[in-house]
Amino acid sequence: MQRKNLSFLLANPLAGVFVALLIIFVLSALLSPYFLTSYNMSVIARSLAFVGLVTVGQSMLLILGELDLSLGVIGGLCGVVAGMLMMTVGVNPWVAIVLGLAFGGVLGFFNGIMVTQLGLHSLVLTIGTAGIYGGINLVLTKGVAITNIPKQIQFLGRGDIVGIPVPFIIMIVVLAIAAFVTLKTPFGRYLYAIGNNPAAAAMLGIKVNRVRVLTFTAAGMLAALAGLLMVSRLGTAQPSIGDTWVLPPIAASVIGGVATTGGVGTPVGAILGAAIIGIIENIIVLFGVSPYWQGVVSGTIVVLAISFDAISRRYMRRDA
Amino acid sequence: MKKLTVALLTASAILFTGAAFAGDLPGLIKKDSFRFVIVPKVVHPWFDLVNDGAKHAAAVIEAQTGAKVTIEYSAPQQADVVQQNQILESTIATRPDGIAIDLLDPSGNRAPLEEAVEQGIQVSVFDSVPPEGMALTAIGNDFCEQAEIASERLVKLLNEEGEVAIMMGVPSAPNHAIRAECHKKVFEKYPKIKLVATGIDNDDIETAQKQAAAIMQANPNLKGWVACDAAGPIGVAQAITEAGKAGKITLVGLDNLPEMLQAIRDGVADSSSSTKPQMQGYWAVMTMWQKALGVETPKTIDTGIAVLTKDNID
Amino acid sequence: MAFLEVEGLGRDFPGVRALDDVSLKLELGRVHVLAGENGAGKSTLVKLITGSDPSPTRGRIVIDGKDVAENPEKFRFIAYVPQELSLFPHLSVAENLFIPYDRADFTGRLVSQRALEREAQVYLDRFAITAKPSALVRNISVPDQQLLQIARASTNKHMKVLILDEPTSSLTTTEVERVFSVVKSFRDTGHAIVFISHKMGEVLEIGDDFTVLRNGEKVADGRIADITERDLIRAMSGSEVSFEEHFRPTPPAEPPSGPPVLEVKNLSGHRFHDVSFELRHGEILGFAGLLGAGRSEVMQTIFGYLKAKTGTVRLRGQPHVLGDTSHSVGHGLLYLSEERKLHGILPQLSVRENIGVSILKQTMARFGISSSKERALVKQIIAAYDIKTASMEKKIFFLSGGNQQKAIIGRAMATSPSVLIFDEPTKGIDVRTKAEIYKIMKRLAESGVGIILISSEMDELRKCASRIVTMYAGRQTGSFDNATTSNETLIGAIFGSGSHSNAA
Repeated sequence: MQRKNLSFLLANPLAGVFVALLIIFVLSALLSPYFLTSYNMSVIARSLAFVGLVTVGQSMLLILGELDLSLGVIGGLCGVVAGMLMMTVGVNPWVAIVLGLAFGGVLGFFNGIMVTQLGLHSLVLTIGTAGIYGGINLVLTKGVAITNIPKQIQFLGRGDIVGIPVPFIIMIVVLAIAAFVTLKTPFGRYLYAIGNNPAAAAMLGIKVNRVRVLTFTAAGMLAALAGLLMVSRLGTAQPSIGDTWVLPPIAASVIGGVATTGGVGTPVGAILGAAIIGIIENIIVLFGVSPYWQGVVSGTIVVLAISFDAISRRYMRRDA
Repeated sequence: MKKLTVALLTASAILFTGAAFAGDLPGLIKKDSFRFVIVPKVVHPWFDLVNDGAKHAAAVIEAQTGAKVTIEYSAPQQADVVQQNQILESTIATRPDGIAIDLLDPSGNRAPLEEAVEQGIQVSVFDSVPPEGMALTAIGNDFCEQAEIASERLVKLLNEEGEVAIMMGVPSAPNHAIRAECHKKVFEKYPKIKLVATGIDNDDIETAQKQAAAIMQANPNLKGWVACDAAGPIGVAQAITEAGKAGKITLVGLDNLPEMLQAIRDGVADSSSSTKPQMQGYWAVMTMWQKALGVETPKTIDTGIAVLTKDNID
Repeated sequence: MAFLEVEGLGRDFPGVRALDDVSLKLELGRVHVLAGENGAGKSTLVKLITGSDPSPTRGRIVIDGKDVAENPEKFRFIAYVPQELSLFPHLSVAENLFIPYDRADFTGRLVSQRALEREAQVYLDRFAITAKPSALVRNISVPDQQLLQIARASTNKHMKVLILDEPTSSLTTTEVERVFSVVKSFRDTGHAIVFISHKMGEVLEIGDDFTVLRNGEKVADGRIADITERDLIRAMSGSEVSFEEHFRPTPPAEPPSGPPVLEVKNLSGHRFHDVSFELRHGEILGFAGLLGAGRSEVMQTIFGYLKAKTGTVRLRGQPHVLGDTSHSVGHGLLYLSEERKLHGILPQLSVRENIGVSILKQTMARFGISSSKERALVKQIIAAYDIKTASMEKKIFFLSGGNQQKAIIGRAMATSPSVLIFDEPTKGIDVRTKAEIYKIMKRLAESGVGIILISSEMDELRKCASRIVTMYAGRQTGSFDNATTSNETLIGAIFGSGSHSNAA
């Protein structure tokens, strides 16, 4: 009976990555006295929040069989635009945030429209649009940050509720919605169907292009949300926000079981992957690893984590 | 019995006065070990020189006081405030005695800096300006002065006449932007000096080399170069060598990376107007040490500018 | 003396006995038919005798007088042509033929393109492949691709045994003849051929010997000359499948009033021109033609997957919007593609998810899709269409072709469509499952669903269709009442000899 329960747990596709995360977590706690402090936990949670929001969007695109390399740049541009609206134009900060989110949606929508209407490969297209959006960012800011973001919205990025950082709470809410949408709604089922086989999905009468455009739009909005939260966290609208949100969300998704070929995985798995990456980044500093060795160390841990996942999955299959 | 009491009283009196004395003047309590963390802007050779200076300071303190001083070096892989803040926060979690940081963006770095100060960690800032209103010791030099020294020297070497170009660093880095601005102002003073191009190298040697090559193609009459970061002049020197224009185009470089020094030795670059990274690292540690002991430190320490030429580098 | 001998061969997989106590003798200069339903153990056996599965659980394989367990190099005598096209679409014909190059005497470090193409032409001539050696494989015709696969296997200079797995599944009669002449020439030059096919006519025509597998065991073997089609089918299925019977729907007692189910007028589109027909209540309308005659294109255009140039379609009297598959599905017009892998299944998803994606209207509850409702409905469909799967959570990719097809039909039927278009629904499916699918179609037609059946097997059309529309090179060449038309007339129409009509 015990064994049966256990194997049921292990049969879950997220089991491998979850156990890998657990092992890394426990090892970190054992090896560094600083790791489990409440301050350090909130540091990890907050940094996971920003990259996590982008990861949710990116993982849904990956499930769909698409990819958006401009998400990081969208986050930066929307933060800058919202910052300018507040500081230069004098718009109410809350309105500016809403407009920033909408602008993120528009940029994602544009990616989606180009991919579907011109039949472009999303990888190639978004390399291009990342250049455009990033360029607009530099044109608008001349590379100089917009400072003195109003205190009233800084709570979004800096505050915490019962000790939990606000951005982290927002990310968890977004993740819950994304998990519900992917698993429990027709739209979610369409994501998987299209990611598996776009032609078959069209044959089933699914409006393939509409689903694609909507997902690109949603991912753009999530990236913008991350950017806006980061602006309120920093108190300045930095042009460089989002520079580091390009590859980690993709890596996190893959670690979390999302196939780059589409049709497989969940946003929850992707966030577990992002948590693994986040903890690795944290412990590397806690351990004082030389910056020249950081790539080697973090890369090794990632390879170990995904190998563990792959091996446990193979073991499960043999067992089944 | 009586003797013992006297002895105890005397001992406690000595201890008491000692304590009282220490309470009056900071820096007199002996502390056996210190851990300081250096957080640069990015992984970059210039910061290795800062780190060398920091280690030198640690060795000096150890040699003179016997206290153990550990220097840790934690650099972002990319010059990105978000990443730097993450490292800063993780570093705070390890509760070091002090953090010396080169701020990517003073206001963007503000939140974690405040957290560090709140938690009683000493912070020194080097090569950058502290956020407004925060009383942190800043070690550095006048970037404008550094640029002016370079461009004035170039103008003299060109006899105040000819086409010149600026290799700009990362457009969003304030110190690079200040240098570019000051170069420009110097050139504007001389009517026969004409600024024909500005390249952007993002603090990357290869990019600088490509940009410089293209600019020299487009401006065959170019006579002189100045730069705004440490990587730029190295790339420009490579481009000059490849174009076979060594000796025809004058380069006044910036900072003191080994390749820069080599370019001066080879005669490709005339000279370099250099910050003193080792000295910045040294004094960052010294101020953190003093602050950790409770001693107040100056608001700013100017490490000055050195002009490096063939005659003084070896 | 048999060239290849299999004795008491068995193969176990965890929990499954895939093959048990199979013996088989292959003689040079003879064609050996390997028959059996999907899942009977044919591919397990083939994997063992080609050496791609090197570990039989029991028994031994002797090739050229040597036990391969000790002499694995003997496997080089065996060449295998899989059922699925496994060519490299973006490489040229010549490159496909000789890859990997060391296998075919191109052992040097550099491969000369010209030498490669010169050598390739020899093979192309021998196999009557019309494509040029330099053409990219994705641009050549399907029959040429199928023949190229056989040609590729035969570039193995050591080949003595050639195993062909369903080599004719996407070929029409004339092209089948090309394959047969190749098979015969190999036979006459002293090779042993293993021929696997579900098409009984072909098996009886080309075979010399046969072995029938069922549930992993050998149930019959002997000489083809000694048996009939009926014997063979009985051995394969283990029961009497009356194959003489037809599956044409019984027409409704009184002709229904109102407009036809589907009315197509002067429809033109990609690779077809000016097609008109109507589909009446309670009938199965067959579409006959050669590969590339444009039948699939017509149906995909009606369905909205391809764009129409001109023409109108009315569904139950109402004008039908073209070019929008979701409109078609919403109005009960469904198309089940010939390309199950390409257009049908969602391979990485479970059977439940594959079916579930079409029944979302029924399974939606207040808090999203109800998994209990979904499981119950999917369970019903699995039972109703007799889909054989260990569990509804199994990935559909692992089901046999026939069961995938039944799942797709079940999924389509769950939406209660009014028109269902089957495009080659029994391609690569064994005889018994075929009969099951025919029965399903008949039942549906009689319950009022309009059914269109595209098939390249004349036999299938004759068994199932009420009427048959013929097409040739993108044009409609006739419309016939199935019961009263001769084979010759139909074949004539398929080959485009003039325009025909018979009581339609």
